[in-house]
Order: sequence, then C-alpha cells, then structure tokens
Amino acid sequence: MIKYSIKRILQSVFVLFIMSIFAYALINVAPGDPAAAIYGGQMDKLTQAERERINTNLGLDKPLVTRYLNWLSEMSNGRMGNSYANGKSVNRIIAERLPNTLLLFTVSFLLTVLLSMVVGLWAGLHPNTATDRGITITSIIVNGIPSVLVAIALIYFFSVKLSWLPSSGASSVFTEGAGDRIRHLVLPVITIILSHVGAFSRFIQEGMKDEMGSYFVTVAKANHVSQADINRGVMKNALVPFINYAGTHVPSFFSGFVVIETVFSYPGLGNMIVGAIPVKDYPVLMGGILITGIVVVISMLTVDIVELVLNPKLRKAAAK
Amino acid sequence: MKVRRSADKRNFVWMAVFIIIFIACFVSPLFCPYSPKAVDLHNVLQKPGSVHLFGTDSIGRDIFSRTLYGGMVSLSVAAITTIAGLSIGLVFGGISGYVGGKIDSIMMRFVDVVYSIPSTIIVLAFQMVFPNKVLGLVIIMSLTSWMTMARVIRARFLELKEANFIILAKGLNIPRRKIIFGHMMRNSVSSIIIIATFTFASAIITETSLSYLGVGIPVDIPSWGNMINNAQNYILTGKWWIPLFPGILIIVSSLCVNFAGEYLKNKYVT
Repeated sequence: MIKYSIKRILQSVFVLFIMSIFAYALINVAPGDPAAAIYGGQMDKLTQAERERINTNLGLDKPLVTRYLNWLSEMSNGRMGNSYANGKSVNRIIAERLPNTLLLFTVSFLLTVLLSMVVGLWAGLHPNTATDRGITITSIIVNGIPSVLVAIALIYFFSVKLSWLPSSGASSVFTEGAGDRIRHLVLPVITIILSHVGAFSRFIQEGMKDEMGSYFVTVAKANHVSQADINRGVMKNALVPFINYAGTHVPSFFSGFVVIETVFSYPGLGNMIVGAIPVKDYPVLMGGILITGIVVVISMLTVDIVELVLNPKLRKAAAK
Repeated sequence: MKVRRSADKRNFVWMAVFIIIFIACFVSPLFCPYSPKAVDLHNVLQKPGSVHLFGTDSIGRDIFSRTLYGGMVSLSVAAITTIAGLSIGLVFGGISGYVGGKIDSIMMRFVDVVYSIPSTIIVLAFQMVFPNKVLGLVIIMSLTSWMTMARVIRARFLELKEANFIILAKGLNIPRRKIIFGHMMRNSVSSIIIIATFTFASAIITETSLSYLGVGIPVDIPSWGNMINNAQNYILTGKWWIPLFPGILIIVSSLCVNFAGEYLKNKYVT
C-alpha cells in the first residue's frame, strides 16, 4: 500500500516537473522581449542601453538552463516574482484567485459526479426503455455542444431575458455574503456540469449494461437471488471503474475553466492565464500554469486514494 | 449488437446534413453575393433580412458569407488536426503495442503524463510562441489530440499480437512490414475511423473555444470561433444575430459528427 502510494506520488512529481520544464522552455523561445511588455507603446523611446538594463534586471541575459534553475529555486521558496504587466507580486495575484477556482472546481466536480451517478445508474437499471435511449441521446447532444455556446445561451436566457442571475464576476459590489457568491456560481457551475455529465453518465450506463450481461448475474438469477440484491452488486461493480474515470477527467475540468471563467469574467486562475497571454506576462503565466498543475495533481491523487479505499481488488494488488 | 434499421436511417440523415454543410462551406466563394471580408460602413449592424440574409456585423460585413467562409476555415483546421493527430497516435501506439515490454510501459507512462496536463493551458502557452499563425494552431492542436488514438491502437495491437493468424504469419517469415501494415493496421481500421470522427468533433470544439478566447485563428481570417469571439457582449447589447448563425452551425456539425461516430461505434465495436 505504501509502495503503491509512493509510486503514484513520484509519478505526480514527474508530471509537475515535465509541466514546469515544458512551460518554461516554451515561454523562453517565444519571440518578443519583456521590455516591450513593460513599456508597451513607448518601447521605441528606449535606448539600447536601457533595454539591456531592463533585461539584466529581469535576469534575461543568463543562459536558459541557469534561468530555469534559478526560477525553480525561487519557486520552491514560494517566490514567484512580480507581474511584468503591473508589478504586483504573482503570489498575491494567485492567492486572490486560487480560492475562486478551487471553489468552482469542488462544487462542479462533486455535482457532476453525483448527477451522473443518479442518471447513469437509473438508465443502467432500466435498459432498453424509452427513457434509457433518451438519456443516451441527450448525453451525446450535451457532450457535443461546445461549453462556450452553452455559457452564452445561459447568459442570454437567465441574465438577459429573465434577469435572474448575474452574467459575470464572483460577487457583486454592493450586496455581499454567501447568497450573492452562490448566485454568481450558478451559471458557471451549470455550464461545467453540462459539458461533462453526458460522458460521465454514459460511462456508468455502459458499465452497468456490461455488468448486467455478465456470467455472475445469469448465475445469480438462476439461483433466485432477488433482483434488488443483484442490482446492488452490479451497481457496486459499475461504480468502481467510474471513480478512476472521473479522476482521469480532472485535467479536462481545468481546461474547461480557462474558457468558462473567461466567458463569465470569473476571477479565477484560468481567466488570469488568458489575460496574461496578449501582454506576454511570463511570471503570471508560469505561476498560473504551475499552480494549476499542482492543484490538478493533488486532486488526482485524492481521487486515487478514494479509489484505493473503496476498491478491495486494488488494495490487494497494491499490498503486493 | 445488431443495429436497427431506424438507426441506419437516422445516421443517414446526420451524415447528409453534415455533407451539405461541408459542401456549402467549400463552394461558398462561388455563390456568395458578398466577400466575407468586405467592410460596408453604410450598412452596419443590419438585422437579418432579404438583402443580408443573416444580417451584418459591427463593421458591415455580411454574416451569411462569413459564416460559410468561416466554416471552410474551421472545418479545414479540424480535418488537418485530426489527420495529423491520428498519425502521431498511430505511430506512437503502434510502436508501443508492437514492441511491448519495458518500452511499452515507458511509452504509456508518457501518455499518462501528457493526459494529466490540462490541454487548453498547454495550447495557450504554445500560442504565445506562434501567435496569429494558423499553422501553429494546427500543430499544437495535433500535439494535444493524439493520446486517445495511441491508447486504442496500442490495446488493439497487443490483442492482435496474440491472434493466431499473426503468430502464424510470423512463423511463416512474412516480412514485419507486411505484418504491421497488411494485417495489424488493416484489422484496426474500424477503431481508427471511430476515433477519427470523435477527434474531428472535438477539434471543431477546440478551435471554437480558442478563437473565442482570441488565441486561435488570427482575427482577420473569418472562422466559426472568431465569429463568436466576445459573443456574450453582443448578447448583452441585443445584437443576437451576430453570434447566432455561426453558433448554430458549430453545434449542428459537431452533433452530426458525434452521432455518426456513435453509430459507427455501435455497429462495429459492440
């Protein structure tokens, strides 16, 4: 068990390492120099000497590997540098935004898992009924519509037509408190749920169908085991691989946040990353990518642990 | 599982709709009355009507022409991405599955690692390197869409490697090239086509999302994604027709391809 955990943790560290190298190297071969980012339109007024001074101050005259190692040691000390665009410390920018993204992730992930369990199990227990087919088709449709368009449609109906819910931000200026936060979460969370619930529930539905057709079910039926008992066993068996499946989709939630946070102007990490790109704000971008990586890795490890606790087969294999 | 006749018919409708969209987009330069890039400041923000079928945008460009031309751009990008991504996946998964052993487990660990990186974020980082280039977008979209293909082909190859006819072929000293391409690839064609349809559908969605964020196809080239860029502002200011038509086409073509994929999956896999 400990060996298994260590293996998984090592793998996660490897993911983070690759991600940091990848992002750092990429951003450094990018054309354009940070002096341009700081001075923007007044760039032409700078002399060559001034530009060099700026580059030296930012440490850009050293070789790439040295810069990466410097940056890594700074990062591991929790100093992520200052934004090129506005000079604010990246730590502070991220500290403001991380809780928003974490809240969005926790709420939407748990709701997606719960909802798809209800839908998938129900469809699996009633195979070949009209509702079962309806659920299959609905989940294909829901899965095929880009979340950007779902978000825009939700804004149109709930913010413009009905004016029930706010279309952007995480909280209002004048009315504060939990109720207000929740109102701002509703539309982004619905969008994320809709973009994943289709695939999730189909996974359970198909797992249920496979299990229902398996040999042990036939034997149980032949031996007069009650349908309720069979259902219970089948549901258990179908849900175990689902935990793993949900875990592997954690990264795609964070991919989705980049888009959804932008549509709803939700002040999270994804929105921050998108904002950093046109102004070539390397430190913010790097910090954002790395923190997202850490959050993703920790979330996936958590799912792994849940799986290990719930799945005796895996526990036995891990103990070996 | 035997597919019912009605499923065959329904699938035919989906395919037909998609082919009509596809052809309409690619021959649009022949029949569109306006150039997709022509600015007409006398007729800005026209509602859909008889002169401009889908209306005009904020600098007077004809949305009907732009939607069809944009479809040509978006569908081409999606198609090239799919072909490139599948080729990478095919080679990677093929090697991994055929060689097997330690190399296989290392290669699959690599796929796991790539899988656990949120792809949009990688694409965003890449777009800083190749800003405003269609080629750059296609490259990075291909580099983030090969993993499913690799996994499926690997599994298929591992399975086929144990099949009697392959063992026999090896025993008969048939050249490895022939075994790989003539037997193993050929027996994987149905899986390849199924994955291709789903990759194509998700490539349409990725292009849309990236262009929506302003980091996809350069803004001066019309594409479905570019046309819904900042669509929530149009919606909030009552100019609903600007994003509506490209939005509908995105949804319809994505659904057509998804349903076609489902149909193939039911017909050939289960």
